Amino acid sequence: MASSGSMLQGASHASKLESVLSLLARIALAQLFFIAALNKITDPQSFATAIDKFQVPGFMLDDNGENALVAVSVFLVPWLELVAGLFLLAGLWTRAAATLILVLLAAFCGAIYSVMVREIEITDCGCFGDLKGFCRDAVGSCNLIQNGVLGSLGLIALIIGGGRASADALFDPDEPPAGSADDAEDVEFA
Amino acid sequence: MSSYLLKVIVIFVISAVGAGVQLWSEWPVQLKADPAPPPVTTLTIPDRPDSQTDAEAGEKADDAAEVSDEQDAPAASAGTITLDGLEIDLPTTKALHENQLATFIDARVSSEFEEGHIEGALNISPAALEANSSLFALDVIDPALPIVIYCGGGDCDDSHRVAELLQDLRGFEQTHVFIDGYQTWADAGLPTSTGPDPFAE
Repeated sequence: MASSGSMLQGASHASKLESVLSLLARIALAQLFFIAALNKITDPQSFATAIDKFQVPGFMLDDNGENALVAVSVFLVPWLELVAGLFLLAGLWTRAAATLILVLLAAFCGAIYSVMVREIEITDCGCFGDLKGFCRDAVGSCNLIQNGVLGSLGLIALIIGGGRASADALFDPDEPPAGSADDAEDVEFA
Repeated sequence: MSSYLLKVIVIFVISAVGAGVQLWSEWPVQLKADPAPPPVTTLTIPDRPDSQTDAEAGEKADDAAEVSDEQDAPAASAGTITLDGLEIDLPTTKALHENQLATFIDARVSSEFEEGHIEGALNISPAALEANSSLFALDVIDPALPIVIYCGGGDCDDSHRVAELLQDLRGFEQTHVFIDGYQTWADAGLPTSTGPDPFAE
């Protein structure tokens, strides 16, 4: 982290580069999470079925198709994706939004890894609702790589912050744009 | 640090409010979606010398079939097979297969299909259907015949998913799920094949 901090304190052109990098990462990540969220919000049953297929203890539907944790996840996860995606896109409270996105991605990776270890074959991960993501085969390493790429984008937003083209730069004194004098401390904390 | 955590919590709370509003607006929520039950259909068994009656089919299947909505009421009477409800049992499925009165669809992944499937079945998995709703295999389905979809049996849900997708995406109404699944069919010694689906893309 110390090296990241010194990097952010570099020349002014570096901060511009970081701002552009953050903007691109935020747009890409927000766009993908919008698609994922909207597909899940409009079809909660498909997402519930997808969660059930992972056979994670505590997250399996009973014979009546009921489970409290699945019900909470089915509605909360897509809204987290949507709201955090909106904050990321706007660049408002960028690091907090990126943190939530990374927590979600870590949970998804854990679920994917668990089905790989247990050798459960799932044809559709439900990551993007009814739409297929980049991985079209059974849930496995491709999905982990996909989430790793998304996680990298989230890390960029977490480390750099919103950059100059963000609401943080305009409104939030706690979230200084990349390259400013306060960045080192902020990144150390992140 | 408190400011950072507060922001995380605020974003979480906004999300929770959105989720709560959606939950409230959609209450009561049915998490498990079942495809719509198809209309009741009675099929006439063609007069073929090698065709078996439903009674014969039922006797052989009694050991294997455990779950059936229609177990109390025979699905077929002399010369006819009545399909009532989404899920059908082994005797009914066997009678349909023997008399070639239905199109069979295996909803499992291609590797499982190649290892063994009900003779004459097409291989259409939910993932394949979601990725491409105009699969070539769908064009060989006779719309005049009911469709019987199966997967591995037990907790397998792919057959229900394919039935739902065929209804939603392609407008097929006569979709039935062979609830006992392939393993029960194979264990009963009924006709199976191996190898890939010639109509798979």
